[in-house]
This record gives sequence, structure tokens and C-alpha cells, in this order.
Amino acid sequence: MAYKIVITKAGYNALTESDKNNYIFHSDYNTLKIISEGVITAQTVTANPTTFTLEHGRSYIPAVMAFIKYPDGYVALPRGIPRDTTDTYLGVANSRYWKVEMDATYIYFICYKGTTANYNVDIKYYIFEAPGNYSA
Amino acid sequence: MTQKIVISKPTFDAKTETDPNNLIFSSDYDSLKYYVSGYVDIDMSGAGSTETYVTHDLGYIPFFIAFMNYIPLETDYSHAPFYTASFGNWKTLDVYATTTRLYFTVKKSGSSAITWRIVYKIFRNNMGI
Repeated sequence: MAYKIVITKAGYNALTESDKNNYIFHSDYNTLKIISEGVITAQTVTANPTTFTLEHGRSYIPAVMAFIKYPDGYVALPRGIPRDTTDTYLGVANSRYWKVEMDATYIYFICYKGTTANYNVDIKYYIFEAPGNYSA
Repeated sequence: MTQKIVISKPTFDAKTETDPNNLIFSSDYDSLKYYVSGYVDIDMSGAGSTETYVTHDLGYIPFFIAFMNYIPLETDYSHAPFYTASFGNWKTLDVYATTTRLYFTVKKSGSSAITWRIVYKIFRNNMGI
């Protein structure tokens, strides 16, 4: 008999529940583990692009999630533009925006200023245990 | 000795395995902890910009993600932020977090009427920015 560790949400029976979404934890299913996280503060974007580089210390390309705080104080996802952007067409033609890329050594936070002035950002990153690429 | 809870994937030894990718769970590592999820609908009758928000009141900026579609033109869900253009018409969705709210900003050109459905998930994890 295979042993399991199962924790259900309140109101569900851990011995009989079959809907995975009603489990807080189930040892049959992998969890997304945060290997490391950090904040890169007060970085100045001065060019198109300005790239901030972080050595992630993994031996493979890790799965990464990151967020940026623009000068307007609002926090956006990768590819997101500032909330106070006034551009129209797609909102990005001459705007600030950013993206995140990874390789086997570094994470690259690539920020654009468009035709706007230099600006400062804070970046929050999470590195997960799962590989961010796939190889058979 | 530091006590741990470790559950390894099948065929790996929980007592000796060090690669976190071979573990189902390890108390050495933090994980995303749900706070709330839900959706908002935004109706647009033509070109313009609209914003709405949900209040989380966590007092810090939380980890968040969002997905969207827009009925009747696009029924598949996409990850936010979202930008698309076709035959001169464009649509965008951006999502922003503050210490109290999650904002959803949609913009579009063209005269078509659409309803954005934006599904959000907010986690308790504090970004610390």
C-alpha cells in the first residue's frame, strides 16, 4: 500500500475527497517551490534597453517570475507598461515597458524607456525549482 | 539538527535527495499561498479606456497573476498583460498591484462591443517592494 499525506480544505474529507482543487496539500502532486527570491532596488533605466543582470546560481534554466514597480508606485507583470502611460496604440509604442529572460547562468531584466526620461524601478524576482525550459 | 518535512518523488530517497526538483514538498522552501481568487467583467461598447479594481487590503504588495478573454471575439484565455492588434484594431489589458488593490486597465480601438472577463489570483506572499 502506498502511503500519502493529504490535507483537505475545511469541509472536505481527506479520506474520500477526489477533487484536487479541494486539497491544501496532497503528496501525489508536486508543489511549486520557491528556491530563492529577492529585490533589486533603485535601478535606473537610461537606454533602450537597459538590462539588469542577476546570476541565479542554478545549473539549468530555472522557472522565474518577476514584477516591477514603476515610478508611479504601481507594480506590473513582465511586458506590462506603467499605469500612468498616456500613449494610445497598444500603449507601448513610445512607452516604458520591460521583459524578463533567462539562460543557464543569468536572469535578465530588460527595461525600455521608449521616448520618455530616465526612470528608477524596483524589481522583485522569484526563482522556482522547476526548469524554465524543457529537454527530453 | 534541524528538523524538516520532506516528501520526495517516487524512486527518490527523501532522506538524502538534495535536488528540489525531485521533491514533492520540502519545508526548506517557501511556496505560493493562496489569498483570494475571482473575476471581474468589464463591458466596453466601443473604443476607449476603462479601469476597475478589486480590494485586497493586505497592507503590502502581494504576488498576483491574471488571465483574460473578451467575449464574443476571443473565448480562449490568455495571460495578462495582454496586447493584440489585427487589421488596425488593437486591445490591451494591464494589471497593477498596490498595497490595497489590484487594478485592471483595458483599452481598445474600434467600434466593436466586447466584455472582458479577467480572472485574478492573489497570493499571500509579500513582494517586499
